[in-house]
Amino acid sequence: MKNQGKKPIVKDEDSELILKIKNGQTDLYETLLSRYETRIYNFGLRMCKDVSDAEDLVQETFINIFRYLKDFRMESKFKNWAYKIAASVCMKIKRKNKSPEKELSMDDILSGHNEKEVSSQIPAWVNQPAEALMNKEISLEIKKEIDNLPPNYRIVLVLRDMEGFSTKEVSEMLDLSESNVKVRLHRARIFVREGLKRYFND
Amino acid sequence: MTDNQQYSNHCIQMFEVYSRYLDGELDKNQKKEVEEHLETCNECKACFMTLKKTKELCTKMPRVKAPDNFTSKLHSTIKDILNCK
Repeated sequence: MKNQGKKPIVKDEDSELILKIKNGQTDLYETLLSRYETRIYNFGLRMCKDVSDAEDLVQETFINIFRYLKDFRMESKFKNWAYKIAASVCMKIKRKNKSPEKELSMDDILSGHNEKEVSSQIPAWVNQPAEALMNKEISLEIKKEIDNLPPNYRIVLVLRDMEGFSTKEVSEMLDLSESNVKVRLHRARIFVREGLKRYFND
Repeated sequence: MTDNQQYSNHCIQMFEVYSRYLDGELDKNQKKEVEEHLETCNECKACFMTLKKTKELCTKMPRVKAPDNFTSKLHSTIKDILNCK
């Protein structure tokens, strides 16, 4: 059969622009770069502890995007393909820096956090709207907690809760099963939650 | 097994699916089970609510703009790669 194994083309808000660039209008690269530089830059900042690593990640990601754009078959959204490249660059940097890819058990997460004591009280901060709670200090606290997560958990939390991808999309980007994504996400959220509870209790 | 142990085990079982509940990834029966449990267990309700707010705060993390000197360097690197004139 002629089209056996070939996936259909996915049309999204970038398709037209991508086709033009692939067909030789390379001067349009600025438009594509401008659409994604803030997103990928923030992904880099969230994934890396220091700004220079984040900038390396962003630069390497865009170099790869434009180097391999001609081979992009448009079988997924461009955004997902771009983040898959960013995720792969990120994990390469983490391996180079010898960041441990350890597994997080619930005991690891809750040990030393006084969290084995169960409370039946809903803390006051939970009842406040997220918009009212969010400020520079809280975002630094969340950043501190995600920095302390092993990279293989951090990347799932960042892609799901901060970059807004679905479980299926993250599983495709990271070549993980959907159930693995769900387990990692849950543990990563619990880990961050412990930090927030400590922050609000202090 | 005492009633208390059974109760704890059920809480742990529920605890494992709270994120999936928040993400709308449970089927109708599982969803109902979580909701009924949260109605009757104050400890789990407190635990669930803190997790829910944590997810909400993560989704609301603000984005920052990349510094101008970084973006101009990035644009020129990509321009070189593409040999644009």
